[in-house]
Amino acid sequence: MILRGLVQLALVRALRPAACVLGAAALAFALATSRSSSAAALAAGADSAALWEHGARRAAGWTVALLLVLGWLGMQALRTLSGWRRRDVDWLAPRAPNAAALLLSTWLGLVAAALILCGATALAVEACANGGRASWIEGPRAFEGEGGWLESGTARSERLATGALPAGARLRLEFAYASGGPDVRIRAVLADPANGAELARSEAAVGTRGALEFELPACPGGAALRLSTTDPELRIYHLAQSGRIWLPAAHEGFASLALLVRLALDASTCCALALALSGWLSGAAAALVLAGFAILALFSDANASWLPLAGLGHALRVLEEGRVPALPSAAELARAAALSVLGLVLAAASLRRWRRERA
Amino acid sequence: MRGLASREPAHATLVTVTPPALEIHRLCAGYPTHLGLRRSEVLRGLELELARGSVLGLAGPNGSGKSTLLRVIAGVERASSGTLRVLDGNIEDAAVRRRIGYLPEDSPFPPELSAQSMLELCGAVSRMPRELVKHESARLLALVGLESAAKKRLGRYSRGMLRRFGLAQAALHAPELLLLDEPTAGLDAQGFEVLGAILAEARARQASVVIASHLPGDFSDHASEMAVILEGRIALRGSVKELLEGRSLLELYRARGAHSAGAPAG
Repeated sequence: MILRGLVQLALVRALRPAACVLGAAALAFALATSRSSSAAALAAGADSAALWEHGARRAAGWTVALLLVLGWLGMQALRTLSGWRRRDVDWLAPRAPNAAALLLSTWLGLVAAALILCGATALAVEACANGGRASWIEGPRAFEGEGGWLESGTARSERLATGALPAGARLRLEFAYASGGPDVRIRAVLADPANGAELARSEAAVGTRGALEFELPACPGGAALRLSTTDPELRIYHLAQSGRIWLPAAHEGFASLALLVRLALDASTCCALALALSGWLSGAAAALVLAGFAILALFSDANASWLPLAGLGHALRVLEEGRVPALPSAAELARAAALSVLGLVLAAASLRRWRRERA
Repeated sequence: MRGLASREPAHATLVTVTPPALEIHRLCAGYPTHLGLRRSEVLRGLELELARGSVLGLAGPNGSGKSTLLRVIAGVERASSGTLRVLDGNIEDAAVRRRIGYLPEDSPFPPELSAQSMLELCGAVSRMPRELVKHESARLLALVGLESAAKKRLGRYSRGMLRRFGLAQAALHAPELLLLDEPTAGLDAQGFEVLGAILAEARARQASVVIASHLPGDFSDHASEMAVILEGRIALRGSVKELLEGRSLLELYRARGAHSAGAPAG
């Protein structure tokens, strides 16, 4: 079923030396010139400034890698079927090849190329980021609910949806749509749900959009969170969906490992979809559809998280803070696999006729 | 319908007739023009039959339809109308296509792969057993004089080397029908010997061969017959000696063109 020669051919074509050299030069430039902004340094505070500095470098490197790897491999995939129809058809068609074997083999070659390019990027980024600190990895959602408005004189209670957590875990709450003043002072109190005893407390002033974060104490029986604001006439929305638990990570460099896995996974899915699009549309139309889809997914919000690439935009934002994005969940892996299979099946169906009529 | 009687003992009463390697009736093929509103036909009702084990030289001027005919027989292009039976089967049938060896006109092989890797890929696509592919690719690369360049990328091959490689890939799976489009283009004297060796092997296994070329010298030593294709039809057919009678191909085309000006050829 797998044609080793075609795997090799797709891999060699995707790793053309000239393209690799140009990509490496762009990556080196991004890594050499990236700096954490002064606003970011202020937001980070003295403790996390180094993490943010390393994170800025990682984010710059991976942003360039994302654009180049997705663009280049997507282009390779888009050109595959037209290349078969235009050139390779002369030696392929008389041999009556199995279309599924051709596509699976070529796709595997592109996946191997994605892994190699992402692996090389991870090595280069980590060598330049020069970071060896401990950090935090994105954990599970903190709350089940949707969130709601927080107004003066009323308090909101949320139940933390976590079980036992390791020492050093942190809770980050996200707020947005503040109205009535320059910023809103928010107080968060964590209490034992059994007896109401206060476990932790934190306060922060949040502008139009912002976060409040504090270290979680040991709370094996769960915890209740009470949110309130003291400012009269002011209100702000608690984005419960974005509330996250952050777990301690031994090394900040795991961030590049997480990006490697995410980018290779999304590049593989995009290659399968590109093969399918190029089977049924002209090259230019397929490229346009793919680019539009990528932009939509990269800048989408949580509602479009089922799209491939949707997790990458969020992962890059996590990276900027020197933190480690979560690895793809089982649901994300299943979605990527399903979309890849769908892409390959559609592409194979388009090969029922090798050569369209010449125009 | 012409056919070869199989070699039955003299006392046998049942004589089986082997179907021809090629049976083509009123074949048309071409491409759409004017945004698909019209069609330009390259093959215009072509009639051809080729007996098993015979070698046919196909001559004709540029644009007469030689390459298109070979591409249609090989399953690369589709005919727009007419009947095409190849090796007593339908060309749409994968099993029939795998019995054909085809040398394309332009040697469009991936420049990134070595000759050995490419032959292994061709064998795998044709579903040949891996051991057989290894054995046959080594033997054929030696036969076409490329064993020392087996690991070299095809992109670094000269035109003549690519033609030799093309001959090796066409013969890899011991096809029953071998289609060679301009096999001598770019070949040196040694290359002509290579072509002779490939054709000798094909004859030895009773394979049928069609050689398309501008030059009768390319097939005159090997072909049992010659056909001239003009404006998408077979205009003449006979032995090479009989057809040329000391004339050049150009004289033949002109003579036939003048002769057939008022009546459809083929």
